[in-house]
Amino acid sequence: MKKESVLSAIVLLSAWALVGAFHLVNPLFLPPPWKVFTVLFGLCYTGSILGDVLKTLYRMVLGFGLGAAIGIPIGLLMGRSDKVYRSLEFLVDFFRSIPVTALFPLFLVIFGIGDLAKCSIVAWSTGLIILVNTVYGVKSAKKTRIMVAQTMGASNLETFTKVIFFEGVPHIVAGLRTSLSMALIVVIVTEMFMGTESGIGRRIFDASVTYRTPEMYSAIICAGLLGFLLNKIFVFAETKLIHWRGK
Amino acid sequence: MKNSRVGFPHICIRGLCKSYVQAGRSESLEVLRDITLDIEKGEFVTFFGPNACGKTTLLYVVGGLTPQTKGEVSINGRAPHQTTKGFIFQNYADSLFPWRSNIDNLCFPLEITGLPKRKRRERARQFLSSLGVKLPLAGFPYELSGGQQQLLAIVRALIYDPDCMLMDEPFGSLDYQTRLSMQITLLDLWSKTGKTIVFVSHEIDEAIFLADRLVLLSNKPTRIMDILKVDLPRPRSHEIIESHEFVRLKTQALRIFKQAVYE
Repeated sequence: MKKESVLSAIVLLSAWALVGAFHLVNPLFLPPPWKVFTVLFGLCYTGSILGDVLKTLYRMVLGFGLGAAIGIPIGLLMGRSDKVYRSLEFLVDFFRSIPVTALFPLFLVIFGIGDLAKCSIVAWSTGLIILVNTVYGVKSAKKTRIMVAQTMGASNLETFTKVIFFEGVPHIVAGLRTSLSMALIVVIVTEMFMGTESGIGRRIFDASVTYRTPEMYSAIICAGLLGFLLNKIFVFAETKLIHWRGK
Repeated sequence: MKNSRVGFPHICIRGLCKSYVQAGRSESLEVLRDITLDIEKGEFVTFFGPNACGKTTLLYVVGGLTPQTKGEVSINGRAPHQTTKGFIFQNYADSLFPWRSNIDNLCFPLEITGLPKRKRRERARQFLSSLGVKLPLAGFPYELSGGQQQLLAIVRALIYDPDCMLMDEPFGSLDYQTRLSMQITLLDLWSKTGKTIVFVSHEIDEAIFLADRLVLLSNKPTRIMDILKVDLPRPRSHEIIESHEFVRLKTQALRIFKQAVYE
């Protein structure tokens, strides 16, 4: 971590501690940091929050994977064929415009209240983002590179698999990264408002309605850390894998 | 290896016309008008003409990348799309594949012909050493200098022994010094492989220095204004730029060029 990052974190924590020490805010809304961290430590030590984190992660990864598995192939097809693109453009744009939260009841009706519904919602919202990015990536393939392959006698399929696909990869991965944070948001919301026994969202919601605010803050911190770490890992893998981006 | 110069035309261009349909307009844009030219096997022909004349379009039509409106093109007696071409673009960074290492870029045409992986790498190494070309093979294209990148693109085009080389201002984005040394390198590669080269240039010294024949083009719609035979001795070095014959050719070419621009 950079020196500046550490410093700003310390400043924020100190301000929070000051607020707590001088009772500037009702501790029911904002408990002092030592109280939150004691609870957080306890939750980690007993391992009771670990199950929630893993459950949330599991739903997220499953839905995200499903979204990618559907979004990428359709996106590749749409990017490659104008006919497919024209056929699906309107539908994609329309469904993309529906806030995913508005679809919760529909998914509940279709898939029930289990993990299937939650994962499907994540797959839906991430899949659309990934799809759009994939289409864009394929369409923005450099003409020169395509011509190079063609003049060397590459078939349409070879041109696609050896050139156009790779041209699209940086955009596809950018779509994956955007949708990864989307996946976390959606999972947490589904856990809060669609019946479930476990998950970070559930923990936050339960703690808030019973005024166990230190626990609520602990769960929020866990959600933040999860998103932060996933993004860091992803960006690291991305720069290693797609070494040629922007070059 | 140098070509046995048999006198039959290798690239045959007959009455070539090309017009583009313009969006929202009734009349189409005429780019090429009645281009006729024979190019012999192993010949080095350069095209020179005003900016935005149809030089690139001409090369694309000859290379089969764009269909002509009228007329005929044949390479080795076949239609352009049935032949293999080494196409070199001005933008070398956009023509190399940055996700492939340098050697795998070099191997790309061999991969298309279906050669197995180990064999094509072996062939690539042999090919480079037979030409005396030194390029780092392990890294990626974006780590190379501009000149090296274009050199990689050129040997990649040569490696699968194409019917001809079509080069569209290949040295246009290089600095002057690199440009001069790339001209010498290209002539060296040409004499070693004996390829027929069609080379578009917007630099008159370069166009004369490289050529067996210099084709002077007009403004749009592009016609052939004149063809100058460049009878300078080979192998050439840049000293010939000061020779009488070179200066004479250049003066003559520029006179025709001025006609083309101000007609």
